[in-house]
Amino acid sequence: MASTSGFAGLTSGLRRHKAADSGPVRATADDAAQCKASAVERGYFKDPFIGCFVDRPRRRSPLIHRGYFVRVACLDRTVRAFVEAAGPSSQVVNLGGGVDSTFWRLAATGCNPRKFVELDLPAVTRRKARCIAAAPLLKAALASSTGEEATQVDHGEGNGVSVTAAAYALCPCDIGDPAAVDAALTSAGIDRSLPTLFLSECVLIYLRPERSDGLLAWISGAFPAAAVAIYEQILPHDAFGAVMVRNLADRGLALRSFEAYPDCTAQAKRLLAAGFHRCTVANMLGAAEALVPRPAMVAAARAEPLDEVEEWSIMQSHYCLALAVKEPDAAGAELGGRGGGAAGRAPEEAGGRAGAASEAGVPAGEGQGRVVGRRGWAEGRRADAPAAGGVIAAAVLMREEAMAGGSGGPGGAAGLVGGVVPAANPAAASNE
Amino acid sequence: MSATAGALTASDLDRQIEQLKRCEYLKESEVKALCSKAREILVDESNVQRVDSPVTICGDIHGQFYDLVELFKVGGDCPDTNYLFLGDFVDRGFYSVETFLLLLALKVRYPDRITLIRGNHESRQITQVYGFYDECLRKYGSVNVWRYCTEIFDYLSLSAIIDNKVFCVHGGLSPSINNLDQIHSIDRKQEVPHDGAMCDLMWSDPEDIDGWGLSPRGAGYLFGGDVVDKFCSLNGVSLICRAHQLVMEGYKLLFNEKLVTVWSAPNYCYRCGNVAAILELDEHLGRSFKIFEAAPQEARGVPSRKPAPDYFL
Repeated sequence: MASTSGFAGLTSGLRRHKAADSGPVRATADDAAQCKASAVERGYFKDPFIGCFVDRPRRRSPLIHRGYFVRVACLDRTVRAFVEAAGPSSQVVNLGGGVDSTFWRLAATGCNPRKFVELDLPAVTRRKARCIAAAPLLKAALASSTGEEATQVDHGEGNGVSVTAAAYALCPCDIGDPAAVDAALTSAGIDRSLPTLFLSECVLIYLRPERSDGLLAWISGAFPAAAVAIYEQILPHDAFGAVMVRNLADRGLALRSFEAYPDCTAQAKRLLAAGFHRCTVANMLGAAEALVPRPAMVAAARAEPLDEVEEWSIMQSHYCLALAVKEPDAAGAELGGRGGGAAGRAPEEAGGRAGAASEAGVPAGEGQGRVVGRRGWAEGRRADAPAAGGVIAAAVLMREEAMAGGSGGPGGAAGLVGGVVPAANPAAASNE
Repeated sequence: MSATAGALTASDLDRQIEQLKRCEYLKESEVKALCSKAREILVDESNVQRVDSPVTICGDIHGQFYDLVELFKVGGDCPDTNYLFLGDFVDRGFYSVETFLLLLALKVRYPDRITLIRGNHESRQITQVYGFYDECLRKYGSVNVWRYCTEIFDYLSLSAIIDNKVFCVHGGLSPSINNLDQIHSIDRKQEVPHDGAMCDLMWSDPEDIDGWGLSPRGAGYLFGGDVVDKFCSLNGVSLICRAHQLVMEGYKLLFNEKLVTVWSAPNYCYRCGNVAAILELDEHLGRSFKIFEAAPQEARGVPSRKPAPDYFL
């Protein structure tokens, strides 16, 4: 298709230094925060902090609201499950965290990892630091239990601003450069020996594949116990995907890893190739089914009328949540997870299910393991993974049965859209 | 200046139509006069408006003005072509004002050559969520034009029947409606209600089920092929033609071709990448679908803002 070659041309035609497009990419941080603030204002979820990061709130459409609600619900659920499973030594790193309020939202509801570190472009850290300094609500949450306040260090024009607090740090960093990430995390007090979850919300996809993969490989190599949660676009080749590529290119945004990882299976293979032991990947219809409790979905459906039912299915099937875990041998035992709920579940043996559906199995490549995929969903396990998944895998990864009938086509989406269950006989009910 | 509705002459209308075809909206006073004239015409229309073949049936437009111009290129100009629009003229696109006023001006100028029926977006409540209200406020600095237009929405017919054989409606069927007489008995001059027959006609969707199901939209119902069979045989109808649902291929036949969805907003919301369709019925009700794509960027006028649709970023 014309649009595909247009995308390739655009990618190769981009200038090398990142300053060429950091402006538009930076603007996506504000856009995401504005959308979340708009959703919060309409009552989709609670976040008293996001407003501190938004200058000019602009009301978005119900589809955008609901999509951000599902994204926030899925990622919050993942972080909570991880922190609960890994215990008080858990660490969270938000790659390209933008001007997001995740740290504050989670802290306010009792989710307190040992360290929560955000890395982003210098200009974004400057803007975020300014928001923090201006908002007593944000500053108060950063203060330590003994009342010690957060400190800000300005590294000079173009180099960004660091914010350091007891359990939180914000560091300017080029996340496409593992050495820079390494240095930033060290300075922020991240301990590599502790279980660490990395978040990437529409971030890695802006990097060239060798850079995003390089970062993932560095994470799995540097951290004996690590997890990643990646939220980003899939399906670049159909009509909707092609228009998305074109529309975002018009805004100066190049999704450089989009073509390399076009679907859930490709995402799963990439995570195994990067060294993660187990992964589950679902499009956002399936992810919502697996991770968002039905009552929450029903409540969101009540926030506004959604008359974009078909578009909702299309849009959500073009985004995925990819979760991957690397655990040391006998992981569960040595991580000392004290979380009751999540860790209490029997760890499903992923490989067993993969075997059961072996006709759909495809090798991950170079003997790295096996990926089982169908439309809108994939699951992978590396050949050298510990036989049994540990507490983190059990807590973080999505479970196929939770997505039963869900993630594939629009058919499974019907229940999600309105959060309703078919009534036995509505005709009788509406007999006037 | 046309101060009263009666003073709106054919030449006034021709001038306004030309102006609207350039995507230039009318003055507030002109909108008021146009709406008042339109009301005189629409008030006499039936809840099941009779339409003669040949006719060209169009689905959702949603303020995509330049794509409506493209539709007229493909389907022919009004009044040369007899048109039936199935509602959802406004919301979502950038030019709901120009789109609705052009269709309304054509209706007033050629009342027997264009039929407009009501969609679920022709509603005060929905237009405040999906853009038409904000657009009126932005373009006129007040909500007067939105008031005039939403008042006219209340007068739009609910459905149409072509040659007594093809039943046309925006959304679909209702468990409260077995025959067309029940549609005739609805008092339509009101805001779209949250439930009941009038609501269902504008909100329901066909689905591969037996009987009725709850709609994921939160209004209207899902209805199955058996419901369609029963409705068709009871009312002597051979085809139900409706819009309301995005179809990537522009149209979709269901239930042994007894129901068709026609979608006329190409690249819906400047985001979906779909093609659009119109359905031409000849004098024997023979069907032919015409497919068209979104108007090219260069056809969208020089100063026009390039669409920047929202994504999750």
